[in-house]
Amino acid sequence: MPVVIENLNFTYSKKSAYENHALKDINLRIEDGEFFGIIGHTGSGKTTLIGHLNALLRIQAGSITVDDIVITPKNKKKLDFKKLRATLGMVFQYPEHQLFDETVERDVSYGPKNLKLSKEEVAARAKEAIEMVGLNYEEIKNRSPFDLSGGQKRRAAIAGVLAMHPKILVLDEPTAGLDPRGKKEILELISSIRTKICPTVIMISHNMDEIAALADRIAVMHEGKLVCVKKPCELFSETRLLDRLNIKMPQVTEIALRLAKAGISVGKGIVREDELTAAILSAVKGGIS
Amino acid sequence: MGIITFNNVSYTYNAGTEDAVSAVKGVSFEINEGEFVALAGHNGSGKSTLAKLANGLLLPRKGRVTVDGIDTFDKKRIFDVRRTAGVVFQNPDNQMVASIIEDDVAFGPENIGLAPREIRARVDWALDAVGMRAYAKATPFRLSGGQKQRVAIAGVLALKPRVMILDESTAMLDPIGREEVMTVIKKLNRDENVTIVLITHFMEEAAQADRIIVLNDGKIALSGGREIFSRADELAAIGLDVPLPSRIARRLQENGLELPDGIVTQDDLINALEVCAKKCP
Amino acid sequence: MRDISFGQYYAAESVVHRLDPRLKLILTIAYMVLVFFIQTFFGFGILFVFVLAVTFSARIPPLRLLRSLRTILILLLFTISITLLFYHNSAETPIAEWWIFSFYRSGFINSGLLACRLVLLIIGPTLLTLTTTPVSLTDAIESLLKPLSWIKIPVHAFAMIMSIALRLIPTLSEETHKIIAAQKARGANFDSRNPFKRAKALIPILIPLFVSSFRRADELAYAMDSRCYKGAKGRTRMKVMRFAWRDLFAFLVFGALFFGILLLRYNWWNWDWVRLITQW
Repeated sequence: MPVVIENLNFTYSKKSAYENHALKDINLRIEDGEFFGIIGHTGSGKTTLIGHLNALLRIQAGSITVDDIVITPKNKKKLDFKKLRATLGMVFQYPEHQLFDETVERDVSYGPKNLKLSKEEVAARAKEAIEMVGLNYEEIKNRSPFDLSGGQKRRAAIAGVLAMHPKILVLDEPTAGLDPRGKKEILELISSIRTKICPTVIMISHNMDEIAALADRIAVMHEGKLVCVKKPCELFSETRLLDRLNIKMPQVTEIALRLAKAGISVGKGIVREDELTAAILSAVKGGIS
Repeated sequence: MGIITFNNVSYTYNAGTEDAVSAVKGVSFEINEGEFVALAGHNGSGKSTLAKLANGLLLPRKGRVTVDGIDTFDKKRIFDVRRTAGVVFQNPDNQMVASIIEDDVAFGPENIGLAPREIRARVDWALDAVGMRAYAKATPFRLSGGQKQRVAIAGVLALKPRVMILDESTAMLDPIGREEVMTVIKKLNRDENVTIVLITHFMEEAAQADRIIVLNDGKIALSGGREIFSRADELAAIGLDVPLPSRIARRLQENGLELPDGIVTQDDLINALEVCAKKCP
Repeated sequence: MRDISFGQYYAAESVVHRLDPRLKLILTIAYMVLVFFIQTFFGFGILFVFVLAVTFSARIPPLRLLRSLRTILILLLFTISITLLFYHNSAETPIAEWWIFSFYRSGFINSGLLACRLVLLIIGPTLLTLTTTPVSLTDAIESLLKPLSWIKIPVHAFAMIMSIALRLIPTLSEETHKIIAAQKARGANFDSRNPFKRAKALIPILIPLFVSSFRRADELAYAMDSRCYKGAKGRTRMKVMRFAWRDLFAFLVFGALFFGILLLRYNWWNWDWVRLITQW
């Protein structure tokens, strides 16, 4: 079942001097198996939006359907929170800051334990999740999460969410602060999570190169509104819209555009490196023949 | 002699214990006044340790570091070292001391005992230099990451350092914040002749420097001008990228296009392709 | 989100805001002492007029002042009713009786006076914090306690700790919210009725919070070192607190009030008009 958001509105600190209308009439449908990107500046409402998906924020108006769970202002207190939070796994920014237990295995088991699963099931899920994120289970299970390297910590934290067996995975800037190698590893991990266990992924990112190459569709948030939902190749050909919202293009798209201006016509809607290389080759070599 | 010199410097954390980690291993280099140097390397390559060694926050286990000719071992002159070489750190939230921006920028000048009027002048000047004067009386809490980091730069700038070391100061920022910081430091380098040492793992940022020193496993792996980006294999082997235009150019070369070496920026790539396209027909 | 580090500071341009925080602090303490010397409604009346005058010259909306009284409302009602109910005076005949309680005229007067005293007592420090930022208060305390550093009490260090704490409170509270959200997303339940379970549920919040606080402290120490921090020695301040004419004026006004109230109470020169007023 997909994620459906209807007429979602949210206001922080209602009726005070700090009132802030953070979400305005959001309507959105995310299909099963989709890699869904969300972009927008700090304060545009991205985090508020995803906070609603697993009821970390109390819904004020509108409705959200996640899998077969419906969240409305009427039932917001009677929800089966555990089921919801197991269905929709949430990896926050700098997830390694949530690590707390003595060993990696115990930390990863925290989620499944909260779901009141049997001991065997908890242990099996912890092992499976640790291996899924590419850590060596036997070597790492009894180590303190605080002794791991930066990239390992982040993967351990992601394992803690995967152990809940989510059907939908939400990631808030999963590569923030990592070096190129760490970034590459996390992006590869996300791809393998998609093919192996959880095909539906929603990802917030500030890195346009990253999101353009990965996402099937991208939602653009601006000042609490959902501006549009588009395929990357469509979105990044809309120069005017991007200018107006002060959103940077992926570098690849920028190069393609500048080449077109210089008279080397490479075609529109280029967002990936391989696309750009192929287009340049055909444009320049095409001139030869 | 350079404004900062490293002479065969080594540093080990927790030396003499089981957890000993050797972070810097016999590194020598020199940074000249007015230069803009990038120190690149993956996490754990020892680049942040170099920043702390360069203004006496850490002292070498072996070798010598000098700042403007002063040995960082010289306890009596350690504050001269720190006034000469200031460090801006990674997390802007963890380097602000005061709840009001101008008070925070005043912290450094207050520490070195300047007269109140002089402090005021320096605070105003530093906030102007980073374009944050309008926020002088505000709290840092509501600022964006890029703005906070500009305040942190002003806090170091108010000490009028001759060298500014930015220890991954862009790593936690979004693209707009990173651009803000890059613009400010390039301006300081150009207009105020502040020597810049930019520690980063973003190769697009490193490519803007006059000179790049690449670290791997506590040692200098590569060093030189932008031409080092043509050594993509070596960079990839130590966990670093090359800037995107270099990567594209290389792929095009592999596919038979005749492009010159040393393409680093978008401008390089586009100019080269224009030349190439004119030659072809 | 409300900025906690600003406490209840009400930003405005006024004479009261600009007064030397040290003077404001001393006057507030003197004011609170003064409240205890007053025993007549007339005295309280004078003080009310004074408080109103200060509020207006500080450009604080009276409602804003009342709102800070809301917090002590329950305490106020409680004390008043206790005094009323249990007041006993055998020399007086009760004016009313109800169940086991009797009410006296002087009982009403006494609880009225008590209410006035409590309200005025709270208003003093409230006005101080409405017109002075926690930062300048910290500076004022540091400056006033400076003599203590001659007997080796690290006044500067304490003040530094205070101001860093003020700086970090919003950051850490934000961080706490983030950690709570992350653990909730992993199925944590903080609503258990069992107090033992509830305490246990806090561990996944407290440990990450400690870890990050230590990391922050470490980084902050490096940042302070590299900006040449070496304690109070040789340190100057950008904002020097200077006694201005307005401070002298405020001091004189308050001095006159202080003297007037004490005169009403003790009437040192046995003036008849003072006696008349106080009997009223």
